[in-house]
Amino acid sequence: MLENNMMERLGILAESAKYDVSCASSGVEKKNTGSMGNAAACGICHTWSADGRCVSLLKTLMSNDCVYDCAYCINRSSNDIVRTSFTPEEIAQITMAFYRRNYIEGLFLSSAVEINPNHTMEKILKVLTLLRHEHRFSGYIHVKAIPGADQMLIYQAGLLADRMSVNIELPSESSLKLLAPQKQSQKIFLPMAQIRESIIRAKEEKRHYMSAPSFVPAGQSTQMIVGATQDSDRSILLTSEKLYKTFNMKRVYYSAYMPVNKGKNLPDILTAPPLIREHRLYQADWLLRFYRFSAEEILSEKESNFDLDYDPKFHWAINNMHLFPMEINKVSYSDLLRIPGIGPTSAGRIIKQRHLIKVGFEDLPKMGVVAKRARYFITCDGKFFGIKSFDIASIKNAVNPIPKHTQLSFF
Amino acid sequence: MIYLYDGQFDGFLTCIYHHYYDEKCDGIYEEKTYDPKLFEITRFIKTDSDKSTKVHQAMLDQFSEYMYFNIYHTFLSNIYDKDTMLLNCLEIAFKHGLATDRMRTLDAIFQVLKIGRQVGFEKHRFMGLLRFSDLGHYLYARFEPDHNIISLLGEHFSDRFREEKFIIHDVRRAIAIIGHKGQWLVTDFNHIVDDNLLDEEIFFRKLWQTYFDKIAIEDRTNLKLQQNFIPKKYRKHLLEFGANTNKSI
Repeated sequence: MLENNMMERLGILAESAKYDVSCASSGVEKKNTGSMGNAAACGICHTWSADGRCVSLLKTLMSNDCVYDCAYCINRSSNDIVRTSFTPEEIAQITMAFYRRNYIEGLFLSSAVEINPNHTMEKILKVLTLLRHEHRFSGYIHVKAIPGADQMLIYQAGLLADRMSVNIELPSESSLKLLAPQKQSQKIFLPMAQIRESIIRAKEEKRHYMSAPSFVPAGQSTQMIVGATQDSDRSILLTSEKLYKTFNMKRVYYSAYMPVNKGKNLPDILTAPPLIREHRLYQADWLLRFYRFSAEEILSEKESNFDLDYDPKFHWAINNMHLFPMEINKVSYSDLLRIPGIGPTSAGRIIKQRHLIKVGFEDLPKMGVVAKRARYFITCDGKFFGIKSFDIASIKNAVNPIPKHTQLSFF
Repeated sequence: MIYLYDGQFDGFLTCIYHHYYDEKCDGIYEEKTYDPKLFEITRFIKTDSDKSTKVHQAMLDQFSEYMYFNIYHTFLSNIYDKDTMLLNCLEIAFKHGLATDRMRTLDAIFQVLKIGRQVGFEKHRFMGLLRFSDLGHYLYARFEPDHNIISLLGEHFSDRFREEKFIIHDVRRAIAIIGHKGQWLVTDFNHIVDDNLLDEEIFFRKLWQTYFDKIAIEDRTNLKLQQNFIPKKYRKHLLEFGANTNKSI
């Protein structure tokens, strides 16, 4: 039962899966209805790997033997790597063994397209069936919907999984043509639309019958690669906004491109991954989801990329100085959210307290406000605590001073 | 006047009862750990479940759930004068009821919210960081939390492992949760669990370590970030950070 090369194969298939960013186990709260497992809405991280990313789910591929030859992917068919796969029984066995020991919060199963999409999706569905019905596993499962697979298979999987995702990978049709000519954006959007429809229908049915089955209760997510093509930050952000609006995505993930392959349409193999750019995209993504910003506000038509020295919210505030300073005892919740250094939690606390007592500057750290950032943009009960000259250059310098001396490079 | 009590939540609540209906006190401490001061007069309050129930019911009636949990979490913390902090907080909270939620910036309230959050966060952390070993008849996990959070973990794990027998052992405080078929209790626990592991257990431990090493992207290695999330004090019982694979963890 415990085959020796299982260790080797898990090594290979986990390594192939590691560029998938998503590892969230959040978004669904459920009690144990089977024999083992439950889920917490906040999600639970079980450990953190050496790159500082949280490990919450057992993230692995079913197989890395792919028929596609996407330029950016480590598993592309033209790469000379060891090809291997798990059987559905093996995946279910490892998942249960890890889960019992509390190593993981659930399973994230993805796969290379082996033989054809239907064959791959059938194997994924088999894992889901084994875990849910045979092992009566009630914990978190995230599976990939394979574009091009039969609608019925995707529907069946959605009834058993907690989250499903289809990776869009590249933000524009033209990039897709360049790097993944075998994939078509229409084929990627099809399962996304199907999942959205089924979620809406399942929610509607639940309103009438308590016992109606739920469909992908933790919603769907997707992922985009940053830096493999010439796409600007603005076009990536506009694509994300569209994904959130049209497909009710729970999350869009961004992954800084790691040059794993050589290719004429790819960045040089020595290019450093654009980590700061990825970070700025996540910050902007948060502004879209929790701060009531629109993509057009964050990056207007004039600018196509983020300022790497300042975060997008600060950047927006500096460009809209006519709106500031704001009086924190008067402005609305959505205006509070626009002040750098204030977030949804601290804005909520300010609103709560100001019904009772005025909020003073000394209260701000206790509210969770980053006062050293917010001070240039607010007044507390009419008093301003920023610097004397209310001009952009001095605020910029106060928040992120340019070092006076820099080390000269020898080379 | 300083009240001393036996360390149980009921004991603490009895002290609060006496503070209101008997004699006002200036501080409350656990008897075992109390560090006597020169001019302080102390009195030991015997736990009385009638009195504590009354105070407890009043808390449930008058406080928001948010406030109640922060108070209870603070009680579980390992901070020396937490009970006196709670006394100060409760005086305000019993006066203002639900409006206390809007008084975050008052020092007496803020302290409790801050510590309550820390305790809640440690509980959340250990929901992920506990590691069970399959010892044949039951699952066993050992841990050393800063705060006394063991009772907060019972419900989560007994629901999760509904058809299992399991023990969660707080080594520092010599207490444990014993869980069996969806029911659980906290009890004193001094047994030393033997280290004869099954082959299957060792196999899955090694498999987990392999997985852990492979899932990291080398080009993004960031040990500082890793340490922010998982400080060294929590690594002692984690296989992936070098705990002995052949012994129970």
